[in-house]
Amino acid sequence: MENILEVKDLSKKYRDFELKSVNFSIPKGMIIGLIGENGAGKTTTIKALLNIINKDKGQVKVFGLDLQKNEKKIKQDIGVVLDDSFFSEYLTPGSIGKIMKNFYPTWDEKLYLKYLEKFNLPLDKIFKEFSSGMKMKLKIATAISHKPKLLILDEPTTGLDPVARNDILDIFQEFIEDGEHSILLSSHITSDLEHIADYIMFINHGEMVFTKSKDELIENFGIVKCDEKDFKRFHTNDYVKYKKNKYEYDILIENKYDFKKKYNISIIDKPTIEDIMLIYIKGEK
Amino acid sequence: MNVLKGLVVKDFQTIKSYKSTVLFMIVIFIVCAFLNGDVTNFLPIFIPLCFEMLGISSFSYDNLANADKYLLTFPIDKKDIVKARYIYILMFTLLGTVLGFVLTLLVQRIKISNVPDKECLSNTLAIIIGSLIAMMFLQAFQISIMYKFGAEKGRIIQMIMIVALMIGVSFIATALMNVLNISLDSFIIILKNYLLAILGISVMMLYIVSFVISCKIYEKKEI
Repeated sequence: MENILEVKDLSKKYRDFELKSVNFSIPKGMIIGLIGENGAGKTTTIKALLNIINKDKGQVKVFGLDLQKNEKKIKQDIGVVLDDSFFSEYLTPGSIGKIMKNFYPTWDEKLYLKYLEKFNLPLDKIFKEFSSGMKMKLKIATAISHKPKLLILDEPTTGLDPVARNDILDIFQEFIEDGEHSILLSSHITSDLEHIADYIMFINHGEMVFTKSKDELIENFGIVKCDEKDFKRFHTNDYVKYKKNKYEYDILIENKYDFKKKYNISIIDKPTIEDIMLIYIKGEK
Repeated sequence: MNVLKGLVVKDFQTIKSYKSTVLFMIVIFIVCAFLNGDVTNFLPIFIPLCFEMLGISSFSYDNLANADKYLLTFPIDKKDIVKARYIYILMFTLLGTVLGFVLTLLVQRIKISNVPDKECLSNTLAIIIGSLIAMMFLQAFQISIMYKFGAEKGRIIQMIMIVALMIGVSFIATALMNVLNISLDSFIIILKNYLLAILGISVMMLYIVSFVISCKIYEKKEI
């Protein structure tokens, strides 16, 4: 499978936080969800791979080209939504269109206007007066109207109501439909990723914990709920982590079929991505 | 080139929402000019200064929106952002200068009720060019300070710097007048005849040095 983005050994050190040798790749036509709690390093990963912050080391290849050497060329085909950064709120969607056409030769004004209409965004109102859902829709319309091949979105569904979230997730699905486009999407709302992501990357304390296909995560991972007596039967190598609750243990299993066979357990719960993330973060080994 | 145009258009579009405030300020200045004895002391200085400050305020708008991070996701580099900011501020200052000059002439015409004579025109021109040079001189420091310290801290530092520079310049001018033993009037004549050209060239060079420094600061800066 051809990769649209390859990140190798991406590192960045701050006084109080460190992004530690992050590696991952994004195949064509896929949606990759980057999950992790607040402050885990999702935004730093996105900013470092886009050269917004100066990385300490690492290599980023986009469309097979080195980003460091071909930054302007590559960025023509990338659309980005950042959680904490956009144009001044004193601009109108209409004036944003006038600005954007100067940055991208492929900027499609008709497509942009179509999105504004679809999202019910008024052309001549300063977007300071928009709701957070409308602001996010404007950011997304702005990011995709130059027809990028790769969309990088930092927390695009935060603060949105379920209807707006659903609308936006539909747009993302449409975007990758032709198999040529890809999306890297960071979110701590893991239920959104369960709907649309093909792969899940989990980052914790600046370290990439795993990159797995969503189906593999949901099908192979499992959660065993048991009491202390049962828990003591399980060998540490057979589970990922456990979380001790008031009356029972939640044990995260990486291969539930092997575990079932080995310990003769009949019920293993199917975990959500949120369950997996929670036990990884809060659990012990 | 289109990228620079896009960045400059962005700043112009942002300030557009303030057009009624700007218009209101201009009207106030014109009213003050009518009430003030000598028009040339007021309009050619305050209108360009008002536009200059509006130009510098683009740092604050971008800072509020955290816009620089977003801009760096576009096919542009950090140098383009700095270059466009200099172009925008200079364009805005020139716009204020031209407007200040035209409005001064108009107010003079109405107040004096005849066409301003050649000397009056040349005095107004000298004052307006003088204030343009003074503003460019200040800007050369202001912009680099904004890049170094950011919009918030930079605003306070540039205020201190403006006062320090004004005291410094007036001290040098007074010292020069004393050493050369000339009056303020003769000093203005010398300024008009020779010094404006020298100062103009020096300020342009200072502007270029400021641009190079700002680029270096911004390149190294963690956005």
